[in-house]
This record gives sequence, C-alpha cells and structure tokens, in this order.
Amino acid sequence: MSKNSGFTRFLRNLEPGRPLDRDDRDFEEVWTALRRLLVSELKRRSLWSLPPACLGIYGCATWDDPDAVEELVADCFVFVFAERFRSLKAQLRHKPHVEGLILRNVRNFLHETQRRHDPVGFRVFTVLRSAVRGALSAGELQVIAGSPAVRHDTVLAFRLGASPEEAARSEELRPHVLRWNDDLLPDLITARGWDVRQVTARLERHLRGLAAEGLRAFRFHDLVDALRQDARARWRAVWVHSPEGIPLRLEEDGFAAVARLVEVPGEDERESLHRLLACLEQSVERVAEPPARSRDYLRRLLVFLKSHAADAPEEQGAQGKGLPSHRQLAQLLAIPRERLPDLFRTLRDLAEACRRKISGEESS
Amino acid sequence: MKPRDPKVRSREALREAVDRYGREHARVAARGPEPWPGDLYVLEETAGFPVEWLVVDRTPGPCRLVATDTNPALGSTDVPVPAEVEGGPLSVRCAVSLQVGVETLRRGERTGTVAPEILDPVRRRLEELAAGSLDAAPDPELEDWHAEVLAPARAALLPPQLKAPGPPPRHFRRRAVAVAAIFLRLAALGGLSALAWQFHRGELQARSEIDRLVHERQALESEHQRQLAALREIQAAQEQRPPEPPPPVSVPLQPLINLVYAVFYPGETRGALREIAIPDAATHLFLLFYVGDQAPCTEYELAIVRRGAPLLTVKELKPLPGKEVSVAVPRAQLSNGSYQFRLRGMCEGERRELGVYEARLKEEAR
Repeated sequence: MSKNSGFTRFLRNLEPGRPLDRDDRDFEEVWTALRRLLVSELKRRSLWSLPPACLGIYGCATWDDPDAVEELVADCFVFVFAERFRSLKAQLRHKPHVEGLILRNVRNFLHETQRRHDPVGFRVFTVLRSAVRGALSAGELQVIAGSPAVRHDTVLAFRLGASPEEAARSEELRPHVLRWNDDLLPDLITARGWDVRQVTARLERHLRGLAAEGLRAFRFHDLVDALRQDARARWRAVWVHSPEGIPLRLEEDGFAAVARLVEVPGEDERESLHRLLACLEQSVERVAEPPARSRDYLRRLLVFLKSHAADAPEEQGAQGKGLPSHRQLAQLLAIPRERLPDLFRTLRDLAEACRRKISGEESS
Repeated sequence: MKPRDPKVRSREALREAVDRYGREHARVAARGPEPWPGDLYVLEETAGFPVEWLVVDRTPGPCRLVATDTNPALGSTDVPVPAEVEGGPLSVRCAVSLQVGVETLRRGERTGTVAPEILDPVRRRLEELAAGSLDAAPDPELEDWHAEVLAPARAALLPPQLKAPGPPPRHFRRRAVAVAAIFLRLAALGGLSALAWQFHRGELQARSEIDRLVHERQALESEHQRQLAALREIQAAQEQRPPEPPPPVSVPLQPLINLVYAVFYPGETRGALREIAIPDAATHLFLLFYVGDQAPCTEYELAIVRRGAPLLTVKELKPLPGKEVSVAVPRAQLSNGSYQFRLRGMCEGERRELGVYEARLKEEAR
C-alpha cells in the first residue's frame, strides 16, 4: 500500500470541534482507497468467490453487485476509522504515518467479520493452518513453494525434493477429507477455547496419515477448500422437505421460524439481520443454566444458523420450505435429541425479544 | 426499515467517534501527569508496534503493564474492553505483561484510560496465569498476531539482559572482525600492554558479574527446591496420616439443606472461568461432573486445586446411573476465590485425566 494513500492526512485533519464537512475531498479519497484495498484483500484471501453473506453483507448474490462492495466499505470504515479512532490518534502521535496500521486493521476487520458470519469457513481455515504449522515445526512437512507463512498459495510436501507439480489434485484429496470430517465434526466447528487445540491435534494426526496413503504433496488452498466444502455440504444436508399438507409441530416451527429470519433478507433488512445475530449472540450468553449445557448447545445452534445465513440464496432456495431433521441436527451438532424442542423454544423466544428490541431502537 | 446510504452511515459514525475522542481526551488531560492504574500508554520503545500498554498496578518501585491492541480476536487469556466502555474497543492481552520502572512510563505518552471495572478481570486473569491455571500459549486464531506484534513488542520493552540472545547484526560482526585484525597487528608490534590490561580488567569484571548471576540463580534454585521439598513433606504427611475417627454424634443426623450445586460438562473450556454465587445459608457446595461422553471407568477421583497447590483430593468416586459423579464439599473448606477441579478416572488399570474445570466462588450479592 502506498504511504501517500491519504489515510494519515485524513486522520491528522480530524480534530474535535472541527466540522467534518470541510474534509469532503479527503473523505472521498479515503473511501476510494479503502474500496481498492478491500477488493484486493478479498481476492488475495479467496473471499471474492464466496457469497457476500460470508462477510455479513446479506441480500447480494455476488461481489459483482456494486452495493455489496459499498456496504462492505462502510462496515470496514466504521471498524477502522470510527471505532478505532482514539487508538489511531494515539499511534499517530509517535509515527510519521499509520498506513501500515490501517492495512493491519483492514485485515483484522476481514478476519473478524468472516469469523462471525462464516463460522464454518473461518474455523476450517484457522484449524487446518495451525495443524499444518505444527507438522512443519515437527519437520514432518516442508514448504516447497509459495508463502512459508502458510497461505492459500503454499505448496507442502512430506519430503524435500518433491516438486509442486506433484501436488495432489482437489479430487484426489476429497475422499481423504471425507473420512477426516467423519471423525472431526462437529468439534472442528463448535469447539471453543482449550478444545480447539485438541481438535487441531486430531487434524494433525490425519494430516500425517496422507503420506502413508501415497500423497506426497498438496496445495494448502486445495485442502482447505475440500474440507470446507464437505463441512458446508453436511450442514446443508440437515434441511429436509416438509411433507405437503402436514402442519408443522410447534417446536419444529420454532427453529424454522428463526431460520427464516436469516434467510435471504431483503435490502431493507440487512442492518436488522446484522443486529439480530449480534443480539442473539449476546442473549445466548445470558441464558440461565440448568438445564445443563443450555448455553453451549444454543451457541452451536447459533453457529448453524449463521452458516445457514451465509449460504448463497440459491443454496437456501434449494432447501425449499425445509425443516431441519431433528435426527441429523442432533447428530451434526452433538446435542441430545430430546433437548432440541426446548432449545428451539428458547431460541425463538430470544429471537422475538431481540426483534422487539431492535424495532424499538429503530422507531425511537 | 429504510437502509441508510453507506457513506452517510460512515460519516455519522465518524462524527460520533471524533466527539467521543474529544470528551475522553479532555478528561485525561485534566488529570495530573503521573501514571496510574487504568492508564493507557504508547511508549517510545514499542512505537513501531500497534500496541498500547495498560498500567495494571503501580507500586513505589515497578509498575505492571499489560499489552492492549485493537485486534478483536480474543484468546483464553485475554480480556475485552467493549466498544461502548471508555478506552474501548480494546483487547487486553494478559499473557503479554511485564514490569517496568515508572520512569519508562514518564518518558512515554498517556493516550487514554480504561474504565475501572476492566481492571478487576485483568488482575484476576494475571493471578490465574501466575498460578499456572491458564495456559499462556496463544490460541490457534491468534498465532500470527502474537508472533508478529505482541511478542516483539514485549521483547522491545525488556531490559537487554533479559532478551533472548540472537546472532549479532551483520555490520557488528564485520566490525568485530576488523577490530580483531587491528588488535592482532598491535599485539604483534608489542604495544598493547596498557590496552591488554584494561581488556583483562573488563573481562575479569564481566566474569565476576557472570559468577554473581550464576550464584544468584543457584541460590534461587536451591530455595525453590527447598520449598518444593517442604511442600512434598507436608503432602506426604497428610497422605500417611490415618483417617481421623468421625466425631461423636451428639445429635441425630440431619439432612443437608440449602445446597448450592454446580454441574460441569466436558467441553467447558479453559479460560472460560465460571462464577458460582453462594448464598450465606449454604453449608455445602454440591459438585456434579458428567462422565458419560467417555468410556466408563471403575472409579474416579477429584482434586481441588487453589493457586496451583492441591487443596483437597476426593477418591473412590463411583459413577451414578446418570453417568455423573458427585461430591458435596463443606462450604467452610472452600473460601471465596478461584479453583481448579481436576477429574481423573481409573480406567482399564490406568489413571486418566478426564477434565480440568475452573470456577470462582463468591458470595451471592444481597
């Protein structure tokens, strides 16, 4: 990023008591530079090919929709320049410019936004990268091409001297990955804190097994992609068509009703959906226990809902007027099946309370 | 709801942020210049890193600092300062702390303060780290941030003798070679006696300093070993002591009432400290551990650990029909504070660690 992209000048000129309208030209310049930076980061991280809902931009099918990019620039602007204004000003007193810091903040923004809105994709990436780094430091894997810091372009091999051309194709990796996910899910997605390291160690063991199965090299991106696609497909498979003419049972309706809230929101509902998910996240942390593990199970259901919201509209559409199969959902999220109806009811009540709160905020 | 234009939304948020900055900045400027717990500093030594240092404690000697930054990713040892709280949003990295003299802070610049309610959880997390009940290693999601920002920032503040030794910079090596060559030539000319004497004295001083440090370390090591041996003796004596006979029952046995109970399930994570509020009237804490997620063991044992030291070990626990093991601990044995509950199982002839849970006991607010 150029040191003269104007972020520093823009920040230096912003002072309390000084009208913002004076800096209109600077604002436009910063907006354009931020948009350029975001687009290049989206492409660098292979996020450009994912639906914008993976970064909390609902209602747009692809990033080619100019509204999607403008919404993302606004979210990023608020994250970097408004919310972190004090900290940027603090750093600016000791540095000639803060362009590098802005770039870091933009990356932190994308990291955090993907973590919140695409829990499946984010978790698969971070856990797999950590497992690969473990195998690298143990000397079991070597980087033979691409970034040594383990990025999408990194090619890894089990012995030095292998060439990047020997890297296994995605189709070759897929059958192995399916077996891994049989063992790793749902912990790969739902584990928290200390348990993340345990699931990382399990993944590292699977990774080492690849050499014994005759795979000598692979591209990091291909492995992430295969794991991620399989995990997403399993989560989508939970939705089943409801039989025609049979009314929904109340407890089924409870979860389906919450799920509908996050499906294909209209343009008018984007901000509300953002706030609904954030409100649900906070409310779940305040749910009383016992019944034991209620919070943990509700967190898992919420991760499932977020993943559902991040699916492309056509994928949500394919699920039709579907309902989650209790058996599959219980299995997928490792929740005792008999607990689901109560959990659905709680989630629906929380969602209703959140909606009331949000509409109250909007009308006031 | 009509969606707001993205630029209008951004401008409004910026305007609010600038106003808030003005208010907070004025408050900080109105206070005296002395560093105080809760203050945030940017220090010259770490100006190259996007960190601010939070003053956690100030004594007449050193001040304890903890690194903070604006990366929202949180690990199990971090404390968040929410956006709406003064100084926020920040992530307080409790595993990245150190002590510095107050002069270091006076040379730096105070850049803000955090709300006082943040300091309590930060101090608690530091205590837990010191007691070894939290792991200071970064979580997988924070590995890069730790390696690129936090660890080097901390290293930049450490006094030189505590920094990890690395290879000398290349220009120093070149200079060392040149100096050595000059010395060799001078020595060959035989004109080095005075310099050699100075060099020798310097070397002697350095050696005596090294000896002093080695002795100091040995003394600390033997003191540490002595304390460990004393602890082991106490523990052994406790284990060997025959069980005391039960006190004579002078009144008919009464049912235990007003139990406070806590249920622990595997998967509850380290770092996620759980708080258990205990009302005045409670005489026992009833603990229940779910063990149904693993192969059954014949017997279980529970160790209760306080500040890294074992407080109580309960053996011969048998699983209940609901795949749980239970213990009722008298409240008098557990004062308020943080505890670690370590559950082990005797399975297939071997002893297995099944779970480590953390909880803080406190009086229920009235």
